[in-house]
Amino acid sequence: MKPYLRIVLAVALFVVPILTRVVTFYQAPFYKAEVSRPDFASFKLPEPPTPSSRPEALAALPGEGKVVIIDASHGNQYVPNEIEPLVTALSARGGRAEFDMGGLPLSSHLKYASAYIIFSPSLPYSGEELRAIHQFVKSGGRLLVFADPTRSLLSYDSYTGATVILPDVNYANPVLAPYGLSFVNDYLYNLEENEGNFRNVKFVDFADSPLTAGLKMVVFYGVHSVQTTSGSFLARSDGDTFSSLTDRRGPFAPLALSENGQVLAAGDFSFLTNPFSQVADNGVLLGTIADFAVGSERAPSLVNFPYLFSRPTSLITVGDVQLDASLLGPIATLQNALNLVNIPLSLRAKAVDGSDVLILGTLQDQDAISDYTRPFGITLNDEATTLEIKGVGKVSAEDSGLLLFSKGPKSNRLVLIAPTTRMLPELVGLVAGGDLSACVVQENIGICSLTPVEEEDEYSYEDYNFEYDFDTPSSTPAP
Amino acid sequence: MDETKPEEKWVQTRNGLLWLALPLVLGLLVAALIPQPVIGVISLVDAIYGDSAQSVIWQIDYARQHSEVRAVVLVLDSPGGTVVHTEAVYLELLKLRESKPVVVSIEGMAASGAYYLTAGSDYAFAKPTSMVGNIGVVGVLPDSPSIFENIISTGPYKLWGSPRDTYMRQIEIIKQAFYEVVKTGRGDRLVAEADVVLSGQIWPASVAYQFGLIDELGSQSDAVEKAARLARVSNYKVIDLYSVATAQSPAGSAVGKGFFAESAEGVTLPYPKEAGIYLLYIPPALVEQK
Repeated sequence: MKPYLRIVLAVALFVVPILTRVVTFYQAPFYKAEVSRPDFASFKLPEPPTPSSRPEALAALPGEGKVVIIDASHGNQYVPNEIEPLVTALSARGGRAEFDMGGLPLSSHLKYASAYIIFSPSLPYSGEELRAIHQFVKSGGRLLVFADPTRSLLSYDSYTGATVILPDVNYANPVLAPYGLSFVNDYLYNLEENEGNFRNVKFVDFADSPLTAGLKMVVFYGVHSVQTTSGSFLARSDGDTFSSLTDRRGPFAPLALSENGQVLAAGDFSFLTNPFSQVADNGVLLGTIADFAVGSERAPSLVNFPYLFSRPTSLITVGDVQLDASLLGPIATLQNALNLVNIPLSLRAKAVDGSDVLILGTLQDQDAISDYTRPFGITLNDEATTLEIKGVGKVSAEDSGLLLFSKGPKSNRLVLIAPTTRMLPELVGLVAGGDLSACVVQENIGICSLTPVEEEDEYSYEDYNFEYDFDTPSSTPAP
Repeated sequence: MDETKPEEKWVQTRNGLLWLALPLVLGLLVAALIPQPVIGVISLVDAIYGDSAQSVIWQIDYARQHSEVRAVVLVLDSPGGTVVHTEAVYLELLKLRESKPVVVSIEGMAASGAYYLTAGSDYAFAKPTSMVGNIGVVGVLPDSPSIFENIISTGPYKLWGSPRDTYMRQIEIIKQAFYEVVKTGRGDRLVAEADVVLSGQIWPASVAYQFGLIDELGSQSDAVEKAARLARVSNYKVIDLYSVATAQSPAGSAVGKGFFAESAEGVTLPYPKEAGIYLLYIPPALVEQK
């Protein structure tokens, strides 16, 4: 064999097993393209919207003396500290917030309230409470109901171990139902344009309303959508906002006002809390909500005593009424009742300008009281035995007291008229006690049943203060 | 007449054999040095956290350093886990993919952080009813900062890490990164819109396939074959890299412990025992309880 053939053969014999193995295992070289990777350093923290400038100090106190009742008796899912910005805003307007802890019937609180605020309840409202709220709104009070999808209550079934979510809308919706408002058991979200998280939804489309005055952007931090059959939406979401209930695009509304303008439904209240109240125009909305709460022009009603007055009050007697001992006692009680609601009561010879007035009189001096009874269409017959009340009919003048209330732009006036001076203390006592259950109240006129008292001269001192005449045995009886 | 002497004949024959046999033997010896290709299998059947992530990283490192490992099949059955450990495994996977293909085979679930890893692969298989997705981040906001009589710290967030609001935004940035990982990894194969991907839903693989979140419905052996095809090898052997890579590592025996909370009765619960930020799927009933 020629040498070169030997070399070729040797090389071939060397290479063949190698190639065989390579071909057996490796079909072709593995060429890998460059692996792209995300630029992790390029991501930026989303910045919160710039807060609007803080509202200037209010020149006037539009809510001076107004009381806002905040529900704390229905398992409400908040702590007072959270709503401090709202309480502060109410105070800045001269209003005052009171928490209803449930010790007294709701109606007794609503008597004097400008607004009633409910946050995320987790207990139902009784029929009596719903009626009281309805009556309150009907008389001009304002109702503000806030729900919040992050405040649902969880219930555990101890038998099955299952968890049941009890959303606040279950308990808030019956309160809102009479006003054509309701919360949807959902939350809104926006994956495209949000405030740091998909559930923090920005709203820039607002209806024209005092509640939305000055708003350019409001952010809600977990918000139910609100529906209304007769009211109006105050804000609407954009087309990229979804409802968790359907996962469908909006627009959806987070705020709505009832048709009568007295009831506000808001699907979130995190925006009222710190630090969220300082984002975008949330603080402005907080202010307009506070304005709304203290802005009710509620017509005071006789049944709301002692909350008929909103200013320092002058007590004036007319006719033959004298401030004797029997009358001063009930007046003192009346003064205390008014003091409890920060209304000072002063005895005056005549009304002071800018004060409310409480007038005491009797039917015995018709000339003195006629100025007060005439506007109510009340006349007394010649024998002074029967009162003719326009729209009511004839009423016995011998055992009936009258309460006449009139509200004026500068002064409210309550006139108490008893048949006699002897019966006046009882009438004042009824009013001071705040219990008018013995009175028929019709609009601004109250007719109270009083106990007839005989004239003093028909009784001797002994009739009231007789002394028992015990026989003192002079000695042991003789057997 | 052949006048060659027998000694010369023997020399010729010997030389001829040497010229034939020696190259052949040498060729055979050299051929024997060419290793049989290996498809390495790395299993992550656990949450992604310190120990489990470290175990996977060791296996990835082994695959990268051993040339016979020509491709890797990452078998996933995981609800995800911590952000940083998911990222750690993901970055190692990317590095491995520069030299070897990585194919994912989803068993029961590749949720959240486990899908993050899926997006970092070359190709992904799943069973038709494997659960895939839950793309997003979950975390518990820290408490509002406060101070305590007997604890002294040097700044308002020394005890709390960050303000609640900042924490929320940090979670958002992690979400953005997650979406970028999905977009980058899936490329043109991703057909679902961002709002669908980021909805956080978990889908059966048959639906995830339609969204382009995985490449094919198939078994683990399909994944192995695909890995071999991508690596262009045949007659390969399949090796579980856990046994070779972590046999001598202390982390090997720690997998499966330490991440999930436990009930008072010692039952492991499917949510983490520590508050933090996670790429984790937590079953709905348990979310409610938490």
